[in-house]
Formats: sequence, C-alpha cells, structure tokens
Amino acid sequence: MSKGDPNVSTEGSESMSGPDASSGLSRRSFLLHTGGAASAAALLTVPVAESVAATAPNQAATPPAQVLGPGAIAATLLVNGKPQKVMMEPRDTLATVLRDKLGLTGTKIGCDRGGCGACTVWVAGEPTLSCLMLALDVAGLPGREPQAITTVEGLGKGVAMHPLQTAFVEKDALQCGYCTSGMLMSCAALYERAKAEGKLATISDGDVRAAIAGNLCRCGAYPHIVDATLSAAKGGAK
Amino acid sequence: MNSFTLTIPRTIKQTLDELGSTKGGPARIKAGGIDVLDLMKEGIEQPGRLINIRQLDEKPHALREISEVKADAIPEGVWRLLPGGDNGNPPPRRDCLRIGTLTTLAELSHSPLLQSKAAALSESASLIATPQIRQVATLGGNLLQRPRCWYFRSAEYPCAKKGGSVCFARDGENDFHAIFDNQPCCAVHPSGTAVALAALDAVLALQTPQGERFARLSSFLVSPSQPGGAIGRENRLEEDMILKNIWIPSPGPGEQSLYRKVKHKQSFDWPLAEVAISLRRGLTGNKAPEAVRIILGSVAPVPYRARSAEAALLQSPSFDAERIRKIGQAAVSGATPLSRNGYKVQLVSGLVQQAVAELLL
Ligand SMILES: Cc1cc2nc3c(=O)[nH]c(=O)nc-3n(C[C@H](O)[C@H](O)[C@H](O)COP(=O)(O)OP(=O)(O)OC[C@H]3O[C@@H](n4cnc5c(N)ncnc54)[C@H](O)[C@@H]3O)c2cc1C
Ligand code: FES
Ligand code: FES
Repeated sequence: MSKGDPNVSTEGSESMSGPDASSGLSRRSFLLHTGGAASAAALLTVPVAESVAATAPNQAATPPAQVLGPGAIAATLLVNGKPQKVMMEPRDTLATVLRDKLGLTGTKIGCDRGGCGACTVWVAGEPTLSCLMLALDVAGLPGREPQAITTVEGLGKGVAMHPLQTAFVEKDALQCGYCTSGMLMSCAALYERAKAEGKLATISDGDVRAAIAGNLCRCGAYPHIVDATLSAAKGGAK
Repeated sequence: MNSFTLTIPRTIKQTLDELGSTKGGPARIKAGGIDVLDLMKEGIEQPGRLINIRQLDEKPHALREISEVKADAIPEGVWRLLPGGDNGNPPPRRDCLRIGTLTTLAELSHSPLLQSKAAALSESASLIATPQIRQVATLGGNLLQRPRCWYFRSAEYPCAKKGGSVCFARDGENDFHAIFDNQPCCAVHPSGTAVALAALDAVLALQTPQGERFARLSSFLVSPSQPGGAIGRENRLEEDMILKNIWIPSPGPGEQSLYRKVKHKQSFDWPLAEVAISLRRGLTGNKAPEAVRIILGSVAPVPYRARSAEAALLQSPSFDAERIRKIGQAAVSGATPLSRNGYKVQLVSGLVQQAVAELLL
C-alpha cells in the first residue's frame, strides 16, 4: 500500500491489534477464512369510502410483495461507484457486509447500536449508520436500483486523498483512529454539501460540531477534528 | 440477531395481508429500523418475519409527505377528534397538517411548513438522537418505539414489562425513570415527537383490514395504570394495524407552540426532561392566554399533561417571574419521585418556567 492510500491508516491501525505476523494471517483474513463473526375500544371507527380494498390501486397489476430469506440471497451493492454482487442474509447489516464480505474494513463497528457513529457511511450522499441499516435495504433487487454507498475507502480518488483526509493528517485530528473513518464521513459530507452550495467559506465551528454530534471520540480529539474541517473548508474555498 | 424473512410489500393492502398471516412466525413492521433492529440485536424481540415498509409509498396515502389540507377535505374521522367540540357538538372544521408516517425526523426538522405551523414538532425532531439517525428514523417509528429503561432493554433482566414479575428499576438505578404515574412500571415514554404532538392535539390515522381507524394521540398512548393499559405495552396499536398519517390542526390566529429539552450531554443525548407547550392568545388588548396545553416528557409512561400548570397559567391575571414560578411549581404537583430521580422535580419545574417565560415575557 502506498503512502496516501486512504486504506493505509485504517488498515495499519487495525492490523496492529491482531495479526499473526509469522503466519502472515491477519485477524481479518482469519475471520474471512472461517466465515465467522459474524385496546382498540378507544379508537374511533369511521366507515369511510377510503377503505383498503377501494384504495389498492389496480390490484391485478400490482406485483406481489417480495419475500427474501431467511437464507442468503444474491443482491447487488453499489459501493464506491462499483456494483458488486454479494450473498447476504436479511439479518446482515450493511456494516458487517462491508467489512466481512467486501473487505472494506475502513468502516468501524463501535457500539453496534447507533450510539457512537464509528460505522458512518454515506447512503446517497447522506451520513448514515451502517450498523443499523440492513444491507438488503440499500441493495439492488429485481425491480429496484441499489442505493449509492460511499465508505471511507471511496472518499478520495485513488491515491489522491479527500481534502478532509489531508486536513486530518495535517491537523493531527486523531489519536487511536477508531472514530476517524466515521468522523471523516460526517465532516466530508458537511464539506461536500457546502461546496455544492458555494458556501465553503461560511462553514462555522458550530456547523462542524452539529455535523459530528453523532460521532463519539473516546480519545477526545474533537478540537483537532473541528480545526481540520475548518481548515479544509478554508482551503477549498480559496 | 435472529434469522428472519424480510418481506417488502408494495401496497398497504399487502402489508396488512402479511401482518395478518401466521405463516413463518410473528411479524414485525420495520420502518427506519433504528429501534426494531436494536431490540433484535439485544434478543428482546425475535420476529420470524420483518415487514419492511421503509420504501412503501402508496398514493394517495403519501406516507412520506408533509402537506396542508383544506378544512373541507379533512376526513370525517380526523375532524371529529379535533379540539373544540363540546356538548355533543362536533368541533369546527379547520385546515390541518397531514404528515405521513414514513417522513423522516430530518425531514420534520427541515420542513419550512412545520417550522412555521407546528414549531414544537420540528423542534422536537431536530433535537432527537444524531444527524445520522434523524436521516433514517421515521415519525411513526419514533412514536411507536419501545421504552429505553435499561432493565427492559437488557435480556438479562426478566422485568415486569417483559412478562416477569419485578420492576427492577423501582429499587434499582432509576435516575432516568418516571416521577409521575410510576406504578407498576416506571419506564418513561421514549418519544420526543409524542410530547410535541400531544401538545398539538394530534390525531392518528391507522389502517386495519376492516377499514380506517382514528385516534387522538393522547388516548392512543396509554400507561399501564390507565383503563385499557397494560404493563407490556405503551399504546393501543393492535397486531393487524398500521399507522398511516398523523394529523394536526393548523394554527389559528394567536396560536403558537414550542418544545424544549434538557439533556446531560449537549452534542446529542436522551432527554432528562422535556416540555411542549401550545398556546392560544387573544388578539386584542393584553393578548391574554385563552387556551394552553402543557405536556411534559421523560417524566411518565406516556407524555404527561400538566393540567394544574395549565390552570395556573390561564388563571394568572398577568405574568412576571413570581407568577411564572408558580406555574412551574404547579407543573410538578403530585410528583412521586423514586430513590434516585428527585432531581427531576426541580428540573421539570425550572424547564416549564423557562418555556412559559419564553412564550409570555
Ligand atoms: C443513540 C440514540 C439516541 C436516541 N435519542 C432519542 C431521543 O433523544 N428522543 C427520541 O425520541 N428518540 C431517540 N432515539 C430513538 C429513535 O429516535 C427511534 O428509535 C427512531 O425514531 C425509531 O424510528 P424508526 O423509523 O427507525 O422505527 P423502527 O425501528 O422501524 O420501528 C419502531 C417500532 O414502530 C413500529 N412501526 C414503525 N412504523 C410503523 C407503522 N407505520 N405502523 C405500525 N407500526 C410501525 C415497528 O414495528 C417497531 O415496533 C434515539 C436512538 C438512538 C439509537
Ligand atoms: S457502531 Fe454504529 S453507531 Fe456505533
Ligand atoms: S481518535 Fe480515538 S476514538 Fe477518536
């Protein structure tokens, strides 16, 4: 991996915690091999014309409800611009599919309950928690296009880092790095939105704090994260 | 998470059919999934079938839309439950806001229509959880989420709400529990939007296989101690029902609303206490208050209507710091705090004073 590859810092920080250097088997590839880890009386009734049968539009033409699983089925995820067919069960969250099936381990799982933001990715450009999103909810299925997912691996273009990634490095916006990919996704979404609206120059301290309100950093790197985002915005606005 | 079948219905009818079917074990609706997936990960709920309505958008139901509907187009069931009817006379017809159940909390916070006509609702939505969650969580799911009492949420505690015999919070860690109506269960209602909607006299439109049903939010949400209540549930939703729309009367002249929330951590946090107030003031003279709803959140098993505070406010001939203090005190009259949440009594009283002062001083 070359310097400047957005994968480097995240890969590096994780393989520190669990690789078996002698066998050349990282904790992650081990997991991949083993397939592991993973009363109505108070309600007012009114007879109205708008009853169920009357409103179901042209029933004959409506395709039936789709029933998926419980076993794994093949569906397409559109991740970082690339459509990929993946086998997934209904219970697989987007976070586990990204990490365990697509090897995109830049996305982290912290609490797995919506409380920390480490698993933040973009769904159609909006920061979203991948731990509380079923992969099948954003996958392409017969009759439905997949939604565009962006992970930290797709934030930069190849080896060119996103301005936020550069700013995080320059401003030392991390310590252990566990929150970093989620923080980047939240901050970069703010950056991209402001850029699209031509408002990069006006991003304030308060805007950044609001954008990262759902991202916890146990190392307390917040001031540097805010600093980095403001500096990237200033740089981008020039 | 347990393994399950995921059904994606295309119409409300298909959703009801799927709910009514018994093939494949118990079914659960999933909207945004923020609450239901959390409960499933914890093993508290293990549905054999999950019915994903997140992308359901059946016209003319407009399940993900905020609109204003003219008085003469309001369904009869909604109109009859609006405020203002008396002595057997139906309430006057009036314009209403209609919000589809699948509208996200982010959409509620950013809606200019709600910001101007139902401020309490958009304010409450904007203060819930985190930006990432508001992007996905729906209004219906927020109203119907299960309580956050940590004993209830932990599979290790067979608490009374889960069919056991003990309320572990009663003599346990009850810092964030109810100070009103806290027998036999002291979990507080978790929904911020419910507090705002109760103040705004919201009416719910539900669909069952037999037809449409309507209910005031204030009678739909029910505490275990109220008639029709049960310790295992927070509302009157039946297994074969889905929520479609939430209706609120558009404000008339002199009407306004607000929602305020106190939390430990300012970035994002669950509330320690909440208040929503809707107020109608006279149009002339000193613009004296003519009608008010004061609803407290995070203090009881359902949003709590502070009737004594409402009466104190309406009886007050004028408003200054001392009179507003009395209204705040009235709001907590009758509170029965537990071993570790006595602080809430003062906190709520102060919060009500602050909110009333904002509206009236
Ligand atoms: C970190 C964190 C902080 C939070 N802070 C707050 C807070 O401060 N205030 C607050 O109010 N909430 C808070 N929440 C809770 C969150 O807002 C709710 O979990 C969310 O709004 C649920 O919406 P949903 O669409 O994801 O619901 P789902 O999980 O999809 O559904 C919830 C329940 O409603 C049922 N349901 C949903 N829609 C319908 C329908 N149309 N008809 C019938 N049944 C239906 C489902 O079957 C399920 O039982 C927080 C959550 C987290 C994780
Ligand atoms: S891992 Fe998803 S929010 Fe913590
Ligand atoms: S850098 Fe360690 S959690 Fe943020």
